[in-house]
Amino acid sequence: MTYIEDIYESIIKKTLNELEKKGYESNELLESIAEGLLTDKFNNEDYIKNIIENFVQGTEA
Amino acid sequence: MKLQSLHIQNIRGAPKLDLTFNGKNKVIFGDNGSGKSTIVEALDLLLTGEIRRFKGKGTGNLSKNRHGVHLTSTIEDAVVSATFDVDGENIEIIRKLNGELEINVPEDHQIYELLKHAENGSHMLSRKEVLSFIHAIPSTRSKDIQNLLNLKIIEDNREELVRIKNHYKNEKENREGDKNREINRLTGLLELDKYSDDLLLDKVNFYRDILEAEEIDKADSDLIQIDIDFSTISANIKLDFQIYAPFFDKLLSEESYEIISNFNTILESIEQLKGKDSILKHTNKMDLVETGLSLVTEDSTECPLCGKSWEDNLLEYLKKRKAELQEINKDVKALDQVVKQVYQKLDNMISDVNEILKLSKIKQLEFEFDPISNYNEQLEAYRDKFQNLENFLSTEVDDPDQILNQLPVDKLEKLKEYAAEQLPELDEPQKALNMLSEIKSRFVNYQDRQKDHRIAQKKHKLMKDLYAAFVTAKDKEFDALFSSIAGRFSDFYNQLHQGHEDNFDAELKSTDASIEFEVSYLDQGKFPPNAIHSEGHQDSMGVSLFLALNEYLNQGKIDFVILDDVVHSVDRNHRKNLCKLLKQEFPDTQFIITTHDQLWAQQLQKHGVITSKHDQIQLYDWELGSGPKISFNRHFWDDVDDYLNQNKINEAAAKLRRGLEQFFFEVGEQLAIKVRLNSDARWSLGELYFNSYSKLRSTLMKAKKSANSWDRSELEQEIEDLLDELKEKYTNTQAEYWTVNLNVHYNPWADFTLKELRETKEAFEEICPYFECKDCNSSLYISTVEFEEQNLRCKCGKTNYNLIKKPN
Repeated sequence: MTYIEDIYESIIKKTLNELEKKGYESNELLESIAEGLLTDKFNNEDYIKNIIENFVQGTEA
Repeated sequence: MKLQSLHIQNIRGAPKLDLTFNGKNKVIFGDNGSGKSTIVEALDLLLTGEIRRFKGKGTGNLSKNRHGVHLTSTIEDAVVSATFDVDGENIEIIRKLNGELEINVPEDHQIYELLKHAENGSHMLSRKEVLSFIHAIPSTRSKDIQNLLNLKIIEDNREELVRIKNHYKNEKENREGDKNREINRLTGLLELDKYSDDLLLDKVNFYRDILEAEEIDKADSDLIQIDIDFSTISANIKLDFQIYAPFFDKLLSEESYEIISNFNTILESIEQLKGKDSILKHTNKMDLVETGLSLVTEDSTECPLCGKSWEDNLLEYLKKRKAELQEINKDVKALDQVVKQVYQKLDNMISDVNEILKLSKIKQLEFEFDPISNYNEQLEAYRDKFQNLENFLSTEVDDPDQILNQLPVDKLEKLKEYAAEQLPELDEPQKALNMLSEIKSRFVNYQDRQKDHRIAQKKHKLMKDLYAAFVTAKDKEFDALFSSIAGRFSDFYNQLHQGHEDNFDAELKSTDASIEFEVSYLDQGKFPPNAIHSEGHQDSMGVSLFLALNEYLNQGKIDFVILDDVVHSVDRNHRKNLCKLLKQEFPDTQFIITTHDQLWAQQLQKHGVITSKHDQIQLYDWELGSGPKISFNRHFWDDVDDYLNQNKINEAAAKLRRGLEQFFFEVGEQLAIKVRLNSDARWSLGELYFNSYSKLRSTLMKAKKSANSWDRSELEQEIEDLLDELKEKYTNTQAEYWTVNLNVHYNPWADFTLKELRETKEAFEEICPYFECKDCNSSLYISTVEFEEQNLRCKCGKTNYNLIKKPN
């Protein structure tokens, strides 16, 4: 694993921890964010918006 | 991965150039315009497919494909190729100027990973990068360092998250506006000052009572018309004047004029806050004070911004200033709220006018609606000036009474009267049914917009939380990374400045989009790197930071570094320390070092960064058609001859003087002579030369006495002859010395002939060998034991005169 992959994985874990601290417990949300961070998808506006929209729609249902 | 050989064809200033490196360190030197940059740029192209000179700020009109090709060639013929030793295997890499890469190895060969790694550019440092690391503002430095660390993807993510966060913030504000507009439509219809479920129920039950329906006790759109018998009542809401009437009344009432008092409140607040400009600068002042607080300590005696001394406690002052600004902040926020209130009121007015303008869709009403719709457009433009405080402060805003006075009151009154007459008379049940239908419709709209607003708020909050979590995670990770780099950076800098700043240390800190970089100065606290330290120290910092980053990034992958003219402002002693640093800390790294300074090239050899004169590649006599000429061991005499042959007297004299300065500096250092610096902190050639000659002469006389004491008459005679020759040669140079005197530049060149300069050059060319070994060409030096001079000798040992007399 290269140093950049190390750093990236660590940022993902820390981001999810921070979100959990803020009370977000949805596995689906955290997994989607982790998946997004692990791939180039996170650099894609539509992908992130999709995560946000799905999560919020879920809380409204 | 080490460079073995390089072939450049039709790139930049080289139609054809071949160089051999054999994996060794090399210094490439030559005057400005001799072709050094061509080699650096060709290597850059080879490894990254790009040429840095054509990328980045200020290069908009430059392109690699157009300007990277040799002027006499075409892009198709522009290519650079090199052989690298990769773990004992020689790999040839061919790169065309268009970026096309050719390597004859399988796709899974590690060379591809190494080239991918090379794309971050951590193998190359130029003076431009040194300056950008040190002088950049934090956000720019952040980008440069993240680029170099190959962490750009993380910054790209952060920027993307900011864009999306702003998108959701805008969406939330827009949905809030939509919701408020629906509230206004509903409360306007119900003639209420504000909305509440109870007030709505009162109105609904009033109309239900007319229709003899039972009272409902819940604000629910499905219940509003429940149990109402529609079969006996016919109604048409659009033609019901009572739906429009409340909005005429609202617009024509005094309510609209409340905006004037709000506006006056705004003006008073602005006056109290010392004007629009002062408020606009407020945020910047707060930022400045907070930056100041991070830069000063209890003991700080001068302003970190202007450098002026500060008698009082600066830290306390800044804390007090911050508290004052925080108080002002409260007033600014209150002002922002009033501006938003005015926006909302104007927006409601626009909504009211729009309700009235719906009458224009009714065919049987023949009325001139244009003045009313024109006024609404005017109102919209005025409303937008109150969208936020910054908008309001940055634009000229008329008093609202000027706008309100233009309200077409007559037209509105006429329309009200006309519509009331033209639209059909309805009985009470019809009116009640219309009202309930319209209330239901608007209530449903309001609930929908309210839901939209709630969802938008949730999305914005989630996005804000995600952004904050990402930035916190990124900052934690980067701080850990930077702290390891900062440690090595401080180590390297301390090695370069031994004895001067022993406790130097640095701090690199990630904050949102920026990287804060501070360094200590003589135990006086931490400062930005370009605040206190000299230009030479800043160069050292740039090199140290690069080497720390390079070490972290490469982890032994690309043991190949190009240092392109990076010691521009570093003095001789610190350059010596850099040589030691490169040797000790990077023993397995191949350095390609370019410079215009031959003295630095010699220093690199003297201190063992390069091992022989053949590792000095001198470029000279560049011409468009042929490119640079190359010499691996060219002496400056050849350069002087070239200029003399071309009748270039000025260039020849300058080259001769500079060459002699370098020669005698080296000699003087070996013979341990003391040279005074002049007022420009330079040594003069005259003093260097005279002191070197005197020291050699006195040392030879000492050797002669020693030979005599040991009864070595032949040696004594040899030294005697040598002394005579040396004296004669020195006398010859004294006759000609004026031509190369530093002051010669200020003399008229007409007094100076080619013949005279050639004679001077020949006189010095004859004496210089007396300061070197005839076999190994190294400068003679004096070996000492416990400060006592023992021998005058050379590196190879073939020249070796004893200086110790036989004890009596």
